[in-house]
Amino acid sequence: MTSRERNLIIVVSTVIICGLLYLGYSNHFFQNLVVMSPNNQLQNYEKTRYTLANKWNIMAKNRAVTKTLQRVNKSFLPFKNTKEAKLRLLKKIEKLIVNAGLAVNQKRMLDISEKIIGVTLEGTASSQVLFSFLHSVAKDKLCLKLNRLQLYSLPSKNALNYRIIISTLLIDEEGKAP
Amino acid sequence: MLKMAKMATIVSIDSGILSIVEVIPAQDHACRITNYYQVELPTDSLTPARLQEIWQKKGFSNKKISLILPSESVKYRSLTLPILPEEELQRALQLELEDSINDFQNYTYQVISQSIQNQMNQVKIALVSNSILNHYYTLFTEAGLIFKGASLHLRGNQNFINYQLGFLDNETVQFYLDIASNKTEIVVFKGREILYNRQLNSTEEELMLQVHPEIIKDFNDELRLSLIYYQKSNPANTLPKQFWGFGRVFAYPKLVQDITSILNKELVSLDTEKIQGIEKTEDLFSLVPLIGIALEEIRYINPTQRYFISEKQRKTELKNSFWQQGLVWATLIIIVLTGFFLIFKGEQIREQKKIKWLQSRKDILQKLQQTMFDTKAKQAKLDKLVTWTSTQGRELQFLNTLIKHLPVGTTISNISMEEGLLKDLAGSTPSVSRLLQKLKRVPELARLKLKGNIIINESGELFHLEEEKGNKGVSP
Repeated sequence: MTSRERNLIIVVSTVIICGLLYLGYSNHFFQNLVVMSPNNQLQNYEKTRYTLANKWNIMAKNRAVTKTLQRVNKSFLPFKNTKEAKLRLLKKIEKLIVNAGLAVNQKRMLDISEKIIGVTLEGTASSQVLFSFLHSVAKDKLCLKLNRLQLYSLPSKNALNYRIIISTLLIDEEGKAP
Repeated sequence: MLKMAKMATIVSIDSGILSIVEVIPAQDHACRITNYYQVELPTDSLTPARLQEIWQKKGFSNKKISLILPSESVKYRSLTLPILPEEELQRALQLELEDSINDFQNYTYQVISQSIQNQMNQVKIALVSNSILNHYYTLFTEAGLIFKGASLHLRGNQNFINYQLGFLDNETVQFYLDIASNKTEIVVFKGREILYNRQLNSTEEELMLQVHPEIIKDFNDELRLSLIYYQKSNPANTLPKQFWGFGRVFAYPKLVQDITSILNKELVSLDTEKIQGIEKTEDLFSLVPLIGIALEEIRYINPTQRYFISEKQRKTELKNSFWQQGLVWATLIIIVLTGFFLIFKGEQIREQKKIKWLQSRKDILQKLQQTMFDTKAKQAKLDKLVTWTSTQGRELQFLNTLIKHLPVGTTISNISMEEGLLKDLAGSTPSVSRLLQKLKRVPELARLKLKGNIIINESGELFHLEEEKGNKGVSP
């Protein structure tokens, strides 16, 4: 390599390096291109594209969940009017008692927690009647649950002494389609 | 196969005749002369304007030319040097020339032949004055032509013969007679080695007109003596039976017959199929050296030496090459920087487009995000309710299963369940172990375990069972 060629290479290399440094300094070229510094707006770009591409899926899923929730909500009493809810629960229980022919000595409304109300029933009944009642409770459209079940056999009377707490959940008015 | 389409234009100024020939490669390794021109023109009359006029009027398209130097401009020297390594030989040659030629610095030289004889290096060189080279360089440059360099008449003839012999650098002894308008040249060569060359004063005009019988007689004698001298000095390289003849003279059968009888050798007939585009045979004979140099340029003959280039031309070319290189580098730098700039700019534009796109979809995105959040909340609520619902009727199912799987003779006296979990199951059975064993077989009852002591009375074994924690009833 002659000295002229060497000098030429040095000059050219210097110009290229200076040019690159200038680009890097003035325009954050390297930060943007090489280091890929975080740019919030651009970081969201891919996420947004994905979200928009799934637009119909998102809407469909929401509709499906809302519909199911509306259907399930029908099995529970609303929270906004607790008194009315208690009354409706009591009426429902009484209807089931009458239908089953269950002898009840004592019944009492119960606030189990803020959103769970219940009814305590005590009495003596034959196992067939009691089981028929429990069956109708389990199958009722209103979601009733046995919170407590205590049975004592009375062999002399061929009957069962029972104490049960039937509860249900109070829910907020939700599930309307957006 | 066709060689790369390349045109070579060769100019010769010799014996007061200006010859120009343009040659291109043709099929089957033939070459085609696309244009040629010959005119009697004294050297003094050759001016840039005249050259420009010829180029324009005679339709020469190529501006890059090579020159065949006039014979009188070239001096030949034979030197005998010891056998040395190449570098040292070149140095010794330089010293020898500096010693033997007073104004050596005014000359450019080239080794035209080198061989070893009698344990010594026999070197033949051609010398050309720098002032002559500068003159031609200036002449052609001022005429708007690109002067590539100057070559030798001798080299052109040698190339032509090699081409005629099939492109190979033949290693046989060849002998040619070139009768020009101002001299006759006898050359014997082997490959690239010039074995013998001599110039005679006889001219083509004298031979063609045959006005002076004495001159003809002298020519005959000179020719014979030259060949005898050669053969005595080169006994190892016997002259071939045929010789090559160049010059207009050889277009005339009568003269050919005379010369062949003098030499007692046959004239090689040229393979004219290899040279296309020549109208008259006599033109071909006079254009031989030009065609020979053109063959080198169109790469039909391997180039063996560089052209003679004057110091002035060398400096100018070096300067031009420096600026050309500088220009190339500058262009490259500009391209690279522009590339970087465009990449960066492109990136910026892409980013801006993305940002704009994001902004244009901000509302719909917000709605979708809200919907997703709503779906998530509702799903959580739904999961909770489904969990609650799933425990409905669990106690009844448990009791039914229990009653179904109680062993015979077992009675239940007391059951207590809370939140779906069996707290206490009391009763009597003939065998508690059998009872437990049976219950274990039922998955729903397998978690029941004995609680407290087993009391044995007349009705059987009294027991208390409870459900292991872990299967706790679900609370909302």
